[in-house]
Amino acid sequence: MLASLAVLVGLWELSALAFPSGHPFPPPSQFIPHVLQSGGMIGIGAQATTLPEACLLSLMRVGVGLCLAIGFALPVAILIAGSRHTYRALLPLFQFLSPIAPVAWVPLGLLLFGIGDGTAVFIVFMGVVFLLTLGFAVAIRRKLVEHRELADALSAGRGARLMLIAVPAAAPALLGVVRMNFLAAWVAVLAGEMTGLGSGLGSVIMLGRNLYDYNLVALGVSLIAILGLSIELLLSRFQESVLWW
Amino acid sequence: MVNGPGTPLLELDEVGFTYGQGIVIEQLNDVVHEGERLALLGRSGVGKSTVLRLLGGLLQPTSGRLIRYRDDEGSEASCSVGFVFQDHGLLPWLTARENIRLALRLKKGREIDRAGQDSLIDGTARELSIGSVLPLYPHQLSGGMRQRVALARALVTGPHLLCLDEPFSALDPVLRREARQVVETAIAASGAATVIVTHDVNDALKIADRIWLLKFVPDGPAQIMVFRRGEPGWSPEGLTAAYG
Repeated sequence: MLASLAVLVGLWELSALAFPSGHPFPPPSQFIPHVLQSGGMIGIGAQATTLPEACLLSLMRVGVGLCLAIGFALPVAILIAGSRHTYRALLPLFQFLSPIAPVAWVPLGLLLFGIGDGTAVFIVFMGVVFLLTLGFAVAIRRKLVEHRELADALSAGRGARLMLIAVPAAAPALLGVVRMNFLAAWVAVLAGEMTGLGSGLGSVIMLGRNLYDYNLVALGVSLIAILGLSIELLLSRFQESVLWW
Repeated sequence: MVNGPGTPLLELDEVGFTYGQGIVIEQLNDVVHEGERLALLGRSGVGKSTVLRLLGGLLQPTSGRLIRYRDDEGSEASCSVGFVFQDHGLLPWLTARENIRLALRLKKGREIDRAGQDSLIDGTARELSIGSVLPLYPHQLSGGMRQRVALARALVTGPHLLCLDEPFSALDPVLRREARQVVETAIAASGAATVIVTHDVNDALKIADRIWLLKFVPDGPAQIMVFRRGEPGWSPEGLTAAYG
């Protein structure tokens, strides 16, 4: 993976040769000195922030939105997956809502929460909650059907076959769904932060755009990619070491 | 809990089972007694596992009646069934001990506290010589050990009927002999009626008192021939000749 990343960065750096008067998307050799020069400070006046602060704020919004979405999706998915009737009746509702892009929830978020953390968290929540519920319900239902005979043989009641057999059996798949949706949440938070929030990595990119400072844009995009990849790797490690089945 | 041999446990009255367009069995009449050992012998795909699931209550007959004489749902006297599946059916996220405990936790009509569960698990594990593997997860166990743990899970609740679906099929010849010994001892100790699916004549002859030999009939239900220990045909040669 490191090798492929090195190749990507290498190609990015090489592409700079084609733009001697300024790369529209400056490579690390250009934006890193730019950041170091400013001492890690971004923006001016009331909008000034530091890089760690921007990263932490974005992570916090993703974390809160994603946790709230998981907290909603898991019990609802268990309810949906628990019976053939609820599965048939309720799943289409979530299939209907899932394709709505996170950015489509921005107007509603602004209406409900105004410009602030609430809107960003709301957009993350709405951006992933339907897909999470759908993914969880399908994974749990599949395991419920797969283990039906064993559950019957053990005389497991409805609750036991769900909570003691199907949900633990589906746990690795559930984490897989969370991993996929973490990336979606990461995309969603940027949409939220680009609504004029004035903080977080999304607003770093917006600031760069407004100031025509493409070093800032490239920095914001690179940080998003690095943080997203790092957390995805941590989740993948967790899955391999704890949920190995 | 288990009465002696001779007491009917299951009665099949004109039992039939169809699966989609295919008729697996038709008009099957017989009685399985407590403590009896019945082997279902036949080629792959003839319907042995389906018959096992019918007897064990995982499938319901599509015609006729299957009477369970202890079927008093939720009480101590209910006709409890222990299953050992071909793939063992152990849950990978639970240790061997917790896999066995699950059967006790889910057993209807009988609440056993944790200490009581541990005592039952340890007792069953001693009988099957699996005490040392109780803290391990299924993926850390050999095929033979996984099978014993699955057998322990089936036996720990003290079932009236034990259903074994090709329990030796995944084992090499040495382990197979050893496993057969373990199963025979465990069945004898439990006193449970046992139905075992196998396509090995020697396994059937060693373990069973009675054998149902299921034979393919083109476009029809399986033909079932019954052999009893001590009667003519109860020999490797006799069964092999009938096997075809």
